[in-house]
Amino acid sequence: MWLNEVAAGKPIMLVGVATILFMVFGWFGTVIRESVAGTFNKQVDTSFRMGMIWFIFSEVMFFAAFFGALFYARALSVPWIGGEGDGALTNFFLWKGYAPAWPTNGPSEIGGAFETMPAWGVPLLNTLILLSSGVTVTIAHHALRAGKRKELLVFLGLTVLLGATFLWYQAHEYMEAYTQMNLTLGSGVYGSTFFMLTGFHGLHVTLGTIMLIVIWLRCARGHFDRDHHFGFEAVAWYWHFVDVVWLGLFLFVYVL
Amino acid sequence: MTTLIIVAFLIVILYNLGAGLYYMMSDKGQTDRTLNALKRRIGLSVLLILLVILGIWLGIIKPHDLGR
Repeated sequence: MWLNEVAAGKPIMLVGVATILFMVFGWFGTVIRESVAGTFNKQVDTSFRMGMIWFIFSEVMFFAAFFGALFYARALSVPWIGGEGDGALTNFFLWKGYAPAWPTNGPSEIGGAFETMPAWGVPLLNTLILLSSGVTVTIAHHALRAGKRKELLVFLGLTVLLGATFLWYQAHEYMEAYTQMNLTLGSGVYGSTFFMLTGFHGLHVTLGTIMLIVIWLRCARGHFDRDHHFGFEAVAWYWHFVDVVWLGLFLFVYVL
Repeated sequence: MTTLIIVAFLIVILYNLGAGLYYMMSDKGQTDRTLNALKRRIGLSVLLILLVILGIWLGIIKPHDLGR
């Protein structure tokens, strides 16, 4: 309704978002309180772990689809319209004179001329920031297992700060892409795969940072010990997962 | 060749990440196997990116530009 410019659309959307946030905070808060009160048995613990597996499975499939779109466009469909494989007639009749290359916005140059984001700059800096956050979360994990509470809080806090720094630089990169490089979501297949992959990854970093903040607060309140810390371990693992997705992104979107 | 080395690194990194998830499910926080798998995964990732930086710096890897 909001996108169709119905007057009531925006307030209804905001009420919906507020309701979701209220429900999520209430639900997760209840689960945390029940966990701390010790009302969960082993079956409930197993159900949380099963939930994590299904969540990660859906995430893997999600990113596989977008990486798949990138690889398909680069390795198959762009060469086909350039006349490779079975695409000779397609190239001759529809896209005559089109020489396939990557990055490209296709033979009709959808979105107009654009520049690509160079790897040797903000993307590399962001890679180093995210890798550092992977190191700090691992140190925090080690500290939790070793029972060193202060070290845990310091390094988990550093991970949150590094995550926020990553997001700040990515927002900066997007503004530069839109305002100075004419690289937009509409820049053909390169622009759409670039923004879909990096954008959804950024959304995951945002979610991961929020989860790390919650876990930091829970660590500060002493919710975890060296043998009982599934909440911490799941979020730490999720952060490693998001970091690995970025490694793939950096290598396949920016470098190779 | 460089692509093959990078992909091989990524496969080993993914294996360790997956192993971390598996140990999180099976050991339920009682062992260090998840932590150790994640240590291997971050160590390999840092090494991979350092090698890629070295490769770009030495001109072995050329980040793609328009029309290449």
